[in-house]
Amino acid sequence: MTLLLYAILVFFWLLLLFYSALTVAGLWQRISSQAPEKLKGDYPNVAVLIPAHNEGVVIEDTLNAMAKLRYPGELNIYLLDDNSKDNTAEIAKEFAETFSRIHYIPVPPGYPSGKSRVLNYGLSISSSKYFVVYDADNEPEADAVEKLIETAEQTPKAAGAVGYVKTKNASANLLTRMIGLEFQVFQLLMQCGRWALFKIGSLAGTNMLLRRSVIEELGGYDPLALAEDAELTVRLTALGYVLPVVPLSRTWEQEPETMKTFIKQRTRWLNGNLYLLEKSFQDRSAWFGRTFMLSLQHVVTYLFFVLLLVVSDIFFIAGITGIGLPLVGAPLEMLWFMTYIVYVCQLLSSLVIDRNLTVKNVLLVLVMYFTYAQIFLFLLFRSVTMYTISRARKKTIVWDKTQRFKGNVE
Amino acid sequence: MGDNLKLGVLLLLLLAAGWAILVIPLPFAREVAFVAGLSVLVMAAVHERYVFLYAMSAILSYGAFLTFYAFLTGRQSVSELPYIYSHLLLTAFLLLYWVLLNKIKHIGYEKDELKRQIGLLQKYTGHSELLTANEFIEQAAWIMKAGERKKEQAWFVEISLEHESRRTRDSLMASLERTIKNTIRQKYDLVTSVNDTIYLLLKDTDEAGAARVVERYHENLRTELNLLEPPFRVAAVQAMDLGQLAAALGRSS
Amino acid sequence: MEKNLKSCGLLLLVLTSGWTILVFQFPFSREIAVASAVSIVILCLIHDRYSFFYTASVIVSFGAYLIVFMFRNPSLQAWELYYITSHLLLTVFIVSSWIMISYIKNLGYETERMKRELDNMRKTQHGTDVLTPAEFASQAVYILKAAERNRKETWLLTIDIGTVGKRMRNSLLTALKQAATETIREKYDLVTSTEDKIFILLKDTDGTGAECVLRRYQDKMRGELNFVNFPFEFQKEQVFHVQQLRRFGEATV
Repeated sequence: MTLLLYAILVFFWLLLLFYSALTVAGLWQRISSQAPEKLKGDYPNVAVLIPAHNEGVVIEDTLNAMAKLRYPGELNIYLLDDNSKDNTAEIAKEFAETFSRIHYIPVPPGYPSGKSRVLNYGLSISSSKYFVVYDADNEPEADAVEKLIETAEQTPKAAGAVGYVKTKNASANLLTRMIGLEFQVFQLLMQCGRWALFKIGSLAGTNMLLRRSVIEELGGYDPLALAEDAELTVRLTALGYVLPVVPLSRTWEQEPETMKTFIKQRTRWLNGNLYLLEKSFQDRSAWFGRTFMLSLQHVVTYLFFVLLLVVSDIFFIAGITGIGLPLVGAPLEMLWFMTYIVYVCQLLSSLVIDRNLTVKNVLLVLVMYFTYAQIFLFLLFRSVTMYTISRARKKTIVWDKTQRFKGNVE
Repeated sequence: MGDNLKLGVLLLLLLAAGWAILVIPLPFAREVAFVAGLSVLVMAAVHERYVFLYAMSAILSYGAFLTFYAFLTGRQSVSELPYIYSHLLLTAFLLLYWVLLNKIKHIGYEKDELKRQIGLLQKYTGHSELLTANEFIEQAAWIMKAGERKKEQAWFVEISLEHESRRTRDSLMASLERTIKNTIRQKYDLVTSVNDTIYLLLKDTDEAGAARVVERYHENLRTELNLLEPPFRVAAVQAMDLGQLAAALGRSS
Repeated sequence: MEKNLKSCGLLLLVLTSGWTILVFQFPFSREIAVASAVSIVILCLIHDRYSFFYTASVIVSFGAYLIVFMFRNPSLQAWELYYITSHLLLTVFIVSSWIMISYIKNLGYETERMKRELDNMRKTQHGTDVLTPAEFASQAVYILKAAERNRKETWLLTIDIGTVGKRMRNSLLTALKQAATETIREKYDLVTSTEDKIFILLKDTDGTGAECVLRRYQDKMRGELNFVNFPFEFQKEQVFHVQQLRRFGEATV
């Protein structure tokens, strides 16, 4: 038992040190990176694909932002309407009738439902050297696409490029503020940090640019994948492509404002990652070469780290309540406390680098470990249960649409 | 850096004074600590012009109280010293805090004032990079003067957005502003945008020249917009004096 | 006011945590007090971009030290909570100090940047009608563009008073600037100056015209000054392209 506890502690701390290294690498990457240089020749043509299903609440703001995109080359924007029943079509058609580069495209119904299938359709009706995907609640900054292209064209072996995602409704409530902070630290560690250390980037579901020839080489999106961005990242990496991160290319997206919507969304993401995990266990090629780091990280994050989080919580509660702990000769409470401190420092780093160090954000950072981080234990339990049941019944988990909100935008 | 160091020293002195209030067993230590803590909040909340008044009132009031207390209890001069130290500590604390607060607030006020001045002198608006209305009028003064000397015409063109759809209005205006920048003669003609109207001042031209610019604008917009009819109304007049332009823009010349 | 309240709230937090460190006898309280005081000074002295690294290093280093200390003193493990409280006190103190000092420093950096921006944006030199070099450059671009279009000439006159004694230079410069603004055509030609030179840009004129303006200027100066022969140099050159005026500012680059 003592040996097991020691093993857990050592492994836990190795993981923590790994994430700390990612934090430092991410900080260094952000500090030292410069804006991409302008291209000397012509800018390649780009298709912007926006999958949309019942996005009437947000699509007007999105298309307004799209209409203001500045790009020196040919740019066409395709609103891919996946059988919306609200006024998405009406709004999109109004924009298409006004602006020559905005196009309204109704997507024929099909199976399975979801973003991957819709994107594959969008690719089939467009032709351009590059395509960039935006979710329907995203408002990219005017130079977002330009910066992605400049980086992709000037990075050897780049399949495309990935920009940053900011939270536009961060001030709506505590949940959205914490989601915003989570995105910040994720992008610092998992995007910039991994790029700095391993030259690995990963596609986000939005503000992501890809070369058309690459997606054709891969055979398009996997329509069964709920986390289509993560799934595509693994396949891209296996082929030897890189995905540079472009922090200066920014889009603003809306995050769930209620706990119910948040749980639905994150369950979908986790299910998607579990699908990926299962795929990686079945496919040995996922454990060779550059995909090794990606696959290892998946296993470590979604299996071991969460289990260790449970163990550390048990130790903390036992320590506070005075319940007798096995004699391990180690200062468990102190160790737990330092994991909390390291977690807080990671979050503070992201505040510093994104220049939103405020009293409110710092106070939230201090409580996030006890509140927001713990929700993920419940989410993983829920996802694993749903996934296991669906696999046992040989059923496909369907795409679960995220509810949109109006108002309280920053 | 010198200012920052002063700040640090002030902070340390304040900490030391506060610590001394708490730790040294002087008379009324608890009450003084309470007043000091309360003062931190009050002096932060009130307007700057009342802060010193508050500090002085607190200091003098406490002094008056101690004097009165000393009279009442018939204190001898030797045993008055602890009361004097107590008063000195509170005074030091309040004055140090007042200076620190002043420094912090002053930087904030200075920044606000600079922001205001920069706003007035700004030549270009942030998003569209057209001239600000103020800069347009200032530069127009030079053009009008030059035109007067050389007996050349300048033409003032108003392009007012007329588009029913509220949804696409904002993006449409951005598109119009972007296109006009690429239509006029760079560093020669002037363009600004106020509310939903674009204003041009075309230099060294005549009515036909102004019409040609408008025609070129229509052509450029055809690649941007799908609309059959242009979503704006155009009015062009010869610019006779600065007052005419200023009135149109809602400014004084 | 909200910002002031926030910074004062932070100050209160700094003071409270500082006093708690000093007053209560938690483990290593003396060492923490010294580290806290030194940290205030260091945070004030170093540039803001290094503040977070310093803060995080102190917090993590102290934590690492405590872990090692506890491993080596297993008998003290029953008192872990006190050591954690010690660490928490230091963390609260240093983090709130860092945020407060960072906020004030950033206000200061922003103010300096805005002052520089404002200096660049100012059109005229203080108390005169003479343009700042940046504004001179900006307007010169328009003049040269117009000259190019209309096939007209532009001439630059330079008056160099570098040889004049330092004692008189300031007053002489003022007089020369005043004379220059009275000599040129208002809202047509441009005037600027540096520490020891005055520059006049003449629009739509030729060599003879430039000579004429120069003589007019010298006659005006003779009315002001007692010199028979001026102790400064006069130069005139035709300006063909914007790069010749690069020394005046970014607008011409």
